[in-house]
Amino acid sequence: MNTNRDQVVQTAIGSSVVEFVKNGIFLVVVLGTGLAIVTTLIKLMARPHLNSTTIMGTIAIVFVAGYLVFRADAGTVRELPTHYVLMICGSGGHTAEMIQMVERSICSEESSHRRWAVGKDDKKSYDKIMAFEHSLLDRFSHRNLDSGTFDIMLFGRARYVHQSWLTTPFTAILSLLDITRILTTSPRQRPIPTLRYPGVIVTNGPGTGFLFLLVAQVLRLIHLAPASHMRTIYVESWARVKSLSLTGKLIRSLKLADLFIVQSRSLTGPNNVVSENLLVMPQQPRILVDNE
Amino acid sequence: MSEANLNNNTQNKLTRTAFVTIGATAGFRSLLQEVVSPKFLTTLKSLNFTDLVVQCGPDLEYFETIIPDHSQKSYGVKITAFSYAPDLNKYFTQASRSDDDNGKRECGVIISHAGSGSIIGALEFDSKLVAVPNPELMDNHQLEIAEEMESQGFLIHGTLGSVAEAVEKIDTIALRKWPPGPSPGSAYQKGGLWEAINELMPQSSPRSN
Repeated sequence: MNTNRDQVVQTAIGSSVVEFVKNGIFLVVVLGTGLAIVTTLIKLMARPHLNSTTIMGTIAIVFVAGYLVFRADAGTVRELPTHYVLMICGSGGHTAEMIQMVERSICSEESSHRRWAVGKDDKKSYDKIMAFEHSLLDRFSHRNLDSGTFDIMLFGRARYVHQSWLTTPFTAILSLLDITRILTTSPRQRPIPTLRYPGVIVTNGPGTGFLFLLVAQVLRLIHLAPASHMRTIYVESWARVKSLSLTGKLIRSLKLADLFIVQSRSLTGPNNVVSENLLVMPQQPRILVDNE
Repeated sequence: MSEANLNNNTQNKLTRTAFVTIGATAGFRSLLQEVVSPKFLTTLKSLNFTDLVVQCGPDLEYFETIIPDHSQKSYGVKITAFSYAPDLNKYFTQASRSDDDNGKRECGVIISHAGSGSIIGALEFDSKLVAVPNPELMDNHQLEIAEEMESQGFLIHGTLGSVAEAVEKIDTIALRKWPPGPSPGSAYQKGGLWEAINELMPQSSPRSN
């Protein structure tokens, strides 16, 4: 049953070369277009000397051109037959819950990819996910099913425990950059390098999940990501039976989740989908766990 | 190692184990103190418990200082302790009812802090669960979840100072079986989280399922 593993590795190597070349071409095209526009503009408008208006105008046009090129690239996603989920795991208990929900319910999809986002300092979650993915590969390949590919990407936290508030803006910006990178980098393991945006994003409560959903919403709003992708699911922790968590409240009041799931009837609300004990549903895993 | 002990004991009589787990991250000294108190140990003895296994997390050294050193002081209950193990299933099993012939055990009890991860882990086993919220942890809703799960009938909510009384209830209260069946009117009971994901997944091109 090693063939599956080998195949994954091979595709990873193959696609990274392809992707490198593609990215190179893309970069050259963007830079070339930008340069051409700038020089033409300078020739046309700024014959006597450059004034501030033309400079501002030029910058604006370069931005718009860059934006259009980026968007054109984003548009190519629509054709692809893929099942790409991004799961955001913040800390111990949340990660365990997320893994359990996936373990119970996962089934084999055609051309699927799972991306896990984990905090840089969260070694325990990283190990848990690796162990889970290993067991998943065995479970699926035992039954000749395609388990798809996965990767784990790390993000810096916006604010670490005991961090000074003075430095917080900087770590927050770095964290936002990490989040954007995780949301827009196509998985290297896939043979389809244009697969760029996750179809669905799932989070279950840690604070960073809120930032992820916020960035995803902004990317969709300014049409950098296609509206059909980056659909968002928030699952309130199973441990929340009387009140929503702060993250849950924020996400709900800003309407950042396309699907807002609570696991207790006492949290029923106008936009909440009640799904009791989602943690242990379905009762029997759809792809059985081996008992050895 | 503990299995060897088990087999020795099972020659003539049933063993019965109480397993205490306080999780991996935070210490819970007040619970550790309570489970080696004379009151708690006499309760265990009167319920025919033979073994007490304690997972102490960061407080193993502390626990070794308060553990009773003679078997008279521990009322004939055999006490073993360890700090942490990546896989607690062995201990959960030891506290559960056994089906096969060579390990004759009576259904024991799992006494756990009320962290959601520990509760979910413990409920997977055919045992009785007493969940004790750690009052020193401010923001993790241990009390909330212990009360809710008790009201749903899956466990017994124990409080510091009366854990022995909670353990006394295990033979009289019938607990509900975990996991609960699908709840009518709730979403995604058949397909779980993956069903929700597939519902939102863009399906712009034909997919075979």
